[in-house]
Amino acid sequence: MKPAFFLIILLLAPVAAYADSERQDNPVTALGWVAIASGLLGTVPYILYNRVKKISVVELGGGDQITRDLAMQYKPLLNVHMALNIIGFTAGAVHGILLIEDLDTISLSLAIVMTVLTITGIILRFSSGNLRVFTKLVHNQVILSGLLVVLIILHVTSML
Amino acid sequence: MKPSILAGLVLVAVLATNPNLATFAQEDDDDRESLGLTEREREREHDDDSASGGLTGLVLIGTIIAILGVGGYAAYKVIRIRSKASKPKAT
Ligand code: HEM
Repeated sequence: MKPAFFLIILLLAPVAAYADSERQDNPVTALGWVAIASGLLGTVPYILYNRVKKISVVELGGGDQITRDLAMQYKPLLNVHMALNIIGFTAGAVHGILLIEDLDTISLSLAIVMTVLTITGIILRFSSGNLRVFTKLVHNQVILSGLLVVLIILHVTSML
Repeated sequence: MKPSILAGLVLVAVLATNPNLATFAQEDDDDRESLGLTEREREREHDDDSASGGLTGLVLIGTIIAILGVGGYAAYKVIRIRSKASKPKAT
């Protein structure tokens, strides 16, 4: 029951791509916006949550009720992070493949960074030991997330 | 299978088979061939890509360097941790 509900909600996310197709002459462009939106939704709240949790541990201590309540939310929030980013990656990848003709170096850089973050994220979820330490160090690197944001901005502005 | 992975696969299937996507070929459309995967109408002239080529080339090189740098740093860290862990505790 729960997984089914989860799946149905997830499937509603890309509907935005079709909602715009009447107005916009190219729905594939809308797919790019879906990728950006689901990436933001999947990542910004997750990073904020982790910051708040860390602050709670430092300020209130691990035993405090607030810290414990926050810790309880880890798994569901991680699931949202993974699900929305996989949707975002898929939407972005389809968007890129359909517009492959217009490939430029910014788009290529963006595709590379997206792919690295997604692959390390998936490995991180299913690995252990050295591989997990390695992928965690790569995936959690601010430089890569920051680079992703910069490239998205460059990519969008270069299309105007 | 994880719901999230399943959802990703379903999304690909939906997108790939959706007849409303303008990019996929219509039967009565002369300009499009096969699936039309790489074909779409050009809204604007293809202006000279090299206009900003020098700068954007740097973006790509910077990206690759950043990824290799992060990968190298992570590998270095893992090796450091391993060699420290395998050494005897008392020195
Ligand atoms: C593509 C865009 C993505 C970005 C920008 C991104 C960003 C991040 C960031 C910044 C963190 C660290 C959060 C923190 O501790 O403050 C994180 C954690 C994590 N991400 Fe992603 N992520 C992306 C995609 C994915 C995907 C596709 C998956 C898996 C399917 C994934 C799995 C994870 C996991 C498992 C963690 C937890 C790491 C831990 O336990 O410390 N990520 N992500």
